[in-house]
Amino acid sequence: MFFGFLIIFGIFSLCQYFFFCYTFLVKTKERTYIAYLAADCRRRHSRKYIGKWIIGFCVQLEFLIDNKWIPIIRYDSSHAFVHRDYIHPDGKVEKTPIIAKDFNDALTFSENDIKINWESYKEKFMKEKEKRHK
Amino acid sequence: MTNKEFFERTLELSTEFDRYVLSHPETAEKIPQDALIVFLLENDSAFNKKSLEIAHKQCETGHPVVKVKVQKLLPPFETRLVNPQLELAANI
Repeated sequence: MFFGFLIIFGIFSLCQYFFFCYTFLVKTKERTYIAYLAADCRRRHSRKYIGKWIIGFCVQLEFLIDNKWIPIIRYDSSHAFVHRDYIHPDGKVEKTPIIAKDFNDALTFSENDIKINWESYKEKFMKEKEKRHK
Repeated sequence: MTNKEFFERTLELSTEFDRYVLSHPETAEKIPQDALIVFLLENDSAFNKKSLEIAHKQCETGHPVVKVKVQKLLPPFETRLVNPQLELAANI
């Protein structure tokens, strides 16, 4: 009786494991698209879906510096909380949590933040880059 | 249209487009991976000219291009109340 229960429980767990793998590895889709805000500035939007549900997102502000597209600011939902990443020229990432209850909120925050601060982010990045090369 | 105006308009449009895709997930299926989104506004030739100019320069990089034609961008709403009537009442 006990071994029978163990076998059934084992089969059930295995099924759950395969379902989990199928859901996250096979059914998960990622969509990325780019919108140009200027000739040297673009915004990259990425989302992860399972079916109709969004399970993750990322909005990234990139600048064309020395003929390379470099991400400087990123708003994303990885690491279990919505946050803003400032990416330093040496690759170090500075994380700031964002108070956003959902994707819509985070989107509004990113729009306002970019509108107000994009020039200062770029300036800060360029200054750090120059310092690094000295 | 100045660069700043174009920047802010495209920023608004891309945010609203993201919201639209959020509420209409089937739209995402029509967008190829790493697509370049070109926004075109009806009755705004200055914006469209600039948008297409930038797209022409950038499409050489090999990204698939998706044109998003928008009829109108409504101003952000400030209140959800419809026609509230105010009446000064000395006594209730």
